[in-house]
Amino acid sequence: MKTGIPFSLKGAEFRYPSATENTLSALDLEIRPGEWVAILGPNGSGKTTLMKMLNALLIPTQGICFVDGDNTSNSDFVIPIRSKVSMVFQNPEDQIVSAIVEEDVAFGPENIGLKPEIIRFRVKEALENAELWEKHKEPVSSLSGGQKQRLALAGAFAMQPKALLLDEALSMLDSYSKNEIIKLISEEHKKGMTIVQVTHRLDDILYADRVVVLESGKVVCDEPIFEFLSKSEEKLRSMKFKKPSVSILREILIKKKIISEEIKSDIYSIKEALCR
Amino acid sequence: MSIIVTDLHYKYNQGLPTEVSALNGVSLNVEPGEIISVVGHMGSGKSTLAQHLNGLIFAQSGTVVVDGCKVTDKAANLNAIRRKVGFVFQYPEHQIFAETVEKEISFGPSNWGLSGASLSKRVREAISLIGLNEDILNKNPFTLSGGLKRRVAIASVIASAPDYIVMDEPNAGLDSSGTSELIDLMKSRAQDGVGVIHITHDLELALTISTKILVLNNGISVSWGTPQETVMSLCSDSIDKLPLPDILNLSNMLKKSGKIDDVTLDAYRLASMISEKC
Repeated sequence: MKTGIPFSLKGAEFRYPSATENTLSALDLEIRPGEWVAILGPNGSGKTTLMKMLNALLIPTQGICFVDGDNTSNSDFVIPIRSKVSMVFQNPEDQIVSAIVEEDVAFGPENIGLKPEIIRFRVKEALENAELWEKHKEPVSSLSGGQKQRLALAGAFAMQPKALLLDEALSMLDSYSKNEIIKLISEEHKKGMTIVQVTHRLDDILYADRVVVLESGKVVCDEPIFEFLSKSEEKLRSMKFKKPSVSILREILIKKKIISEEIKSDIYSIKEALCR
Repeated sequence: MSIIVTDLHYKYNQGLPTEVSALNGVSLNVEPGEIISVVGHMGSGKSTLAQHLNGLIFAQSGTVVVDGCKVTDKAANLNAIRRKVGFVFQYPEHQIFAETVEKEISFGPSNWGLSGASLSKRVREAISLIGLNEDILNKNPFTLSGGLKRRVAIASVIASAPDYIVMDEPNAGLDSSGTSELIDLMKSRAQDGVGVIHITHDLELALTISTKILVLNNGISVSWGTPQETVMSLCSDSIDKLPLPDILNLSNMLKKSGKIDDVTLDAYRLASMISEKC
């Protein structure tokens, strides 16, 4: 069993050098070890800035950010933090560094000085999990956009991190690949990995434990996932979210007493209940 | 006036051991005022097809004809074709380079010869079409949020007033209000007579907004028709790795079980169909 790591923000603020306003303001946020937290919010709400703070890519201009107890503003901790925390960006092109698929996945493990046989094992395992092993010798340029996204995820997994930060990392994937990757991440989460996931789509957060909503750099909602998803369609729309269609259907069928409240919010459970 | 793609074939690394067939006999028609969606799973050939439409890559076999001009690497009118067919790449904000939004949006039309008052008017029209006001023109585009950068990048393509606009996964990373604005933009461009080619893996979105839909699977065209025809085709013959949207999938399963009589994409309509039968 791996142990996930905690994150702690205390009064954290961030302002970009050329900006006149804070992107994040007085943020207090505790993420427990092994928790899966979905960070939601409209474009420009500060989600990506927060994620970069959790990986010590950005240091708070005010307040403190602790990763596994280490203050990110202390430069001695930056390398240890990044070896524990892997981040996958929205655009895979931002983090692909090698011309050949397997070389790109090996880049991280090589940089932390692992032995060649361990690197080979990790690269193969990560590429198999990402369904890219058959392309391990191919040029990265031959991959489609979605395949590059899976390559970036394979690179993150090869580091065997204790926490995974996903910044819209599923947005380029089709629903088949997205489900496969979410299952993969879910397996790591069950083993204890902390997951922090930024997304716009509520369909993508069904595995999360908790939802944090940012608006103009502030936390405006922080609650367990089931509470968040039970909000009405109108309420979610007012927060600029689209309630998953299956959740809408399930609620109507419960209200009309056609199915019971125990039925889960997925199409197979609903179909089974209706065909009994 | 149309884009006509006929029996298009394309292989990457042709003749090498790493040769991959990306398109295998794909045909497509785009008329002015239509929104044509090209749907398929990752690696199905969508982006490869899109890149043929304005001569970023060229047909190895088959033809691409834009308003009567054949697109080839030898075409003397390649510049004119690229002017007719605007291209919004995946993550278009990564193409931003200018120090102000105004300079960024001016770049395309000024390259096509516009200047002075007509250039300024075109830039302001483009800004208005994407739902922003003129205050943004003096801002540094690099300080804008991701969603705003996306809109500025799209405005810089619209400002060249193309007859066709290809958008490759344009809503990736946009929030629901950003996606709604993008849909409105595609519809308004189509209403103004622009042919919109929308590349996506979001079948639900394609079924909602398109005039016609082309479904690709491993480089082969498996369905070409109206959204209704596409629904019928996909419900009768499922495609590996292209799952139906949840509500459509559930309604299809319930129809096959004899629980309802029709398929739908709409959760409320499905609920009322179920209520009538149960």
